[in-house]
Amino acid sequence: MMPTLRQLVQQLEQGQTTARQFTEQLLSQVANAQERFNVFINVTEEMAMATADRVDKLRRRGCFLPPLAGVPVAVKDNILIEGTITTCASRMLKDYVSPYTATVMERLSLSPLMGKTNMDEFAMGSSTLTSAYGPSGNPWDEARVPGGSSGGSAAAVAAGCTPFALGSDTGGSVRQPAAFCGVTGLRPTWGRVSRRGLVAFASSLDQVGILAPSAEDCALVLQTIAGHDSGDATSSHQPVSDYLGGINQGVKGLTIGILRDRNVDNQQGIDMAVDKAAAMLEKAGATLVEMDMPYGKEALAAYHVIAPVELYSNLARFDGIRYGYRAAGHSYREILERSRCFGSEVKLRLVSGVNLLQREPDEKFYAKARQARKAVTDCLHNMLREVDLLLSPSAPLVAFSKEEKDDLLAMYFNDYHAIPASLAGLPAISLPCGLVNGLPVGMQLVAPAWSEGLLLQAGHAWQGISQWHTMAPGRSAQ
Amino acid sequence: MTKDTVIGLEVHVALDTKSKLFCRCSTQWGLPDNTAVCPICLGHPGTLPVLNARAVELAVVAALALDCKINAVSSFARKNYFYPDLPKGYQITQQQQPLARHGSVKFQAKDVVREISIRQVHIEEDAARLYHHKERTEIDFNRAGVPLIEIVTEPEFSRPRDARLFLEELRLLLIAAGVSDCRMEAGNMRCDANISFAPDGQRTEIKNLNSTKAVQLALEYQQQNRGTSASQSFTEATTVRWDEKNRRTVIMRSKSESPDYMFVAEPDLPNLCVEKSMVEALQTQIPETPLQLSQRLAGDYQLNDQQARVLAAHRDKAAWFEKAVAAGAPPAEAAKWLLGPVARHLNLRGKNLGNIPISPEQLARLIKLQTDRTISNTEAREILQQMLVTGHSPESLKKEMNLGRRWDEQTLVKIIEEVLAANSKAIADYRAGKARALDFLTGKVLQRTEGRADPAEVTAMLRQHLDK
Repeated sequence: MMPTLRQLVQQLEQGQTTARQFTEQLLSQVANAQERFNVFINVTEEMAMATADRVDKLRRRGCFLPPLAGVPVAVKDNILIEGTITTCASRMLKDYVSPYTATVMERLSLSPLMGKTNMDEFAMGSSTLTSAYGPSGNPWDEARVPGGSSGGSAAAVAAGCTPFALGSDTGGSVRQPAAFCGVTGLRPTWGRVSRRGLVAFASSLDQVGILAPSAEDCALVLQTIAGHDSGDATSSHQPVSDYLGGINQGVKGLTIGILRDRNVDNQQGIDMAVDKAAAMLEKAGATLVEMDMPYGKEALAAYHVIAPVELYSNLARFDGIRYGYRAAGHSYREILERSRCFGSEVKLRLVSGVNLLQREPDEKFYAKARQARKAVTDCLHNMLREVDLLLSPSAPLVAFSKEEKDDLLAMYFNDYHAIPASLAGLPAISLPCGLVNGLPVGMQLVAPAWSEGLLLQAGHAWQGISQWHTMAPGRSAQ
Repeated sequence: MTKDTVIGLEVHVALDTKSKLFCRCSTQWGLPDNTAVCPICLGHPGTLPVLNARAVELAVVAALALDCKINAVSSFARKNYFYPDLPKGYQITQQQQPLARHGSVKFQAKDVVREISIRQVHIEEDAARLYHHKERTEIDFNRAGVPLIEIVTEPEFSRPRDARLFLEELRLLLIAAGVSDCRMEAGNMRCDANISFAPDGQRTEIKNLNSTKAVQLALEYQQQNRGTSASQSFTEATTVRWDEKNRRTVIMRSKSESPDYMFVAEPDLPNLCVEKSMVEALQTQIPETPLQLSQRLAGDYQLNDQQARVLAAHRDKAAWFEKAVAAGAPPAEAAKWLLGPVARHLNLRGKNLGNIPISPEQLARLIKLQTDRTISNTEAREILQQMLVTGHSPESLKKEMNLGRRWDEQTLVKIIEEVLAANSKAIADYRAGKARALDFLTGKVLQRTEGRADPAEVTAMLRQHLDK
């Protein structure tokens, strides 16, 4: 049984366990999960043990260590760590050795790395079905997907391979898999966490996210990785709050707007689970207010214009010349065209992106999409002036089958509830709040910019009055 | 022929920073291939650009030197296209929302001062260098990411020669402002020229111009060959390359083949905000333009145009000159000595005014000795040579070298009589009206005095004797 992060940190600090002991334990779990769920693209056993040993040595010497020293982590395979291969689940980067370490991982350098987790290729997708290294299975039902694109990271946490994991969230890629796997997933404000070392998909939407069993766990991790980075010009100088300090304030006095969207039909049972949770929060002292979400469809459409456009230029660097897969060819053009061996989803979005950019000299679609984005952002800001937090389901459905041959639009629909916060750059959290057909349901809270503390406070309060986050696949509530 | 010619220039200048525009790699010229590189300028995944503040400063200085209005807010965009010298598959540029607009530059075109409007100045990163061989192309990424400013002129030139003169003035201006060393042969300053002819207005862009002279030659070539089917067609806008060896232009691509750059705002960089206080502080660093300096030197010091232009082209010489004048040297003399014997010495020994042992004040004193007739011109030159080598003062050298002896009149008269006795033909010539004969005789006398007598004095004495 996985201790909470707080418990684990305490155990390590007090010598009840060592980093080596704990990491070794986990590695057997990793092997198990890997076989059943294909959680990792690369397991980094040696690196993990080396870090564990280094931490234990430092601790024995009485050195001052940061809180997460010795606490293992699993990292999505689009975050660079020197000494590891970073594939982004693509054939393009099959043997790509990371030449530097992402800032977030520099800040977690004493956390033993269990491995690089599976994902949708280049972070686009909601299932891991587009991974060039095979899909991952959901620990709750291995015939089903864990969600995506950070599916491997969510599965790693749910399967007990790691106390926490890092993912990335562009249009819901941390929150939706968190919901599918019954774990907590946090997407910080855009600019709260450095993107240096995160392979870019859509730069104005990408953010590093945290997956862990509880909100409190997320708070501990966020405290370590948040903050300005001179290597990321878009990272904010906004001072980092004391997330743990404020986490026990409960929901009394908070106003929560529960979003109703007539344009979406959530899977049966999801609305009920979210409503039940809302009622419990009300009992605990929150004020619940009904609110209309008018721009869900526009947000989805805008996202699928903006993301492919930004993707197109972000993937232009993959020409096989300086790194990555290079095909033989007699001219630059030949090498370029043959080397870009992306999967079909990536290719589709690239074509979409270049089309949107090229098609009209007056940029009709892209300009319109930017306007829509502004409208969605303004709408959310206005709503958050009236209430403290916004509540909705994290996803319109629960984990679907790996075999489901969904049409494209249905697949994109997965991110319906998650996208507005992404467009507005606002922080959001997904919290386990129920089961439908034995599969986890997540509810999403969105807060104003830089108010991660509020999300964690509400999330922690919720997890104090509910048990869903303690459930593990194959185990009932405790 | 020039009335309908319309020419505009796009000049790229490498800024004199220590590191690149978006990373800490060195911009030093001549490093071994692919050693000044890092994940950022190689376009590795996950890398982000971090703006070089010094590059922004120098760009502002350049814009101010070109008399532009600085935009308080400007921004970066991605110019997307695939090419082996472009690591990210896009160039980060301010082309769409530039740092500065609406400036002007004056330059001397023969006897007229012309003014050209500057449309904009913006910051962008340079691409890598390609080396084409028969069997392969090699890429050196040392240059990728070097900070550039692009200076775009309005299409106001009508003569190729003016384009060249403008570029020469621009070079001196940017060098004086400390923005760049503008060495075209090193690729620190590159120019693309655009030319069209009214009324059809079809534009030809000329690339691969590696010197200011090439700019003029290529534009003249286009002028001379317009409309001839032998070279190129002007039915649509074209890009051509200047072939230095064969002195002609070669078609690269036509408008229909020109790429769509699909500009997108750069999401990894916030808007560039330039504070008014910074602009004001940098404004004080802007020196006079070369033209202004040249005009001032000619006007204040009554120098001829040639002297004024040469001094204005080398700020260090101009400053040195002004110091010498301030120390009492007559301007004409100071210019003559500085641009003559001193300059020759510097050229021969590859030195500059910073590392020679004499000061402007010392030269002023030397000149005074000569104009006072304490020493002769020839003697002054000899002392100068020693000054340049030893750095000793003119006074001490005069003593050391035992110069400035006034030839006493008696000895002089004796020499004159001897010379006159030996040169009766010259005397006859002189008497016959040939003035040159007097010079000849003066020369002979000077020879006997080892050049140390004062020529004017000798000539006067000779005349006295001869006219008796």
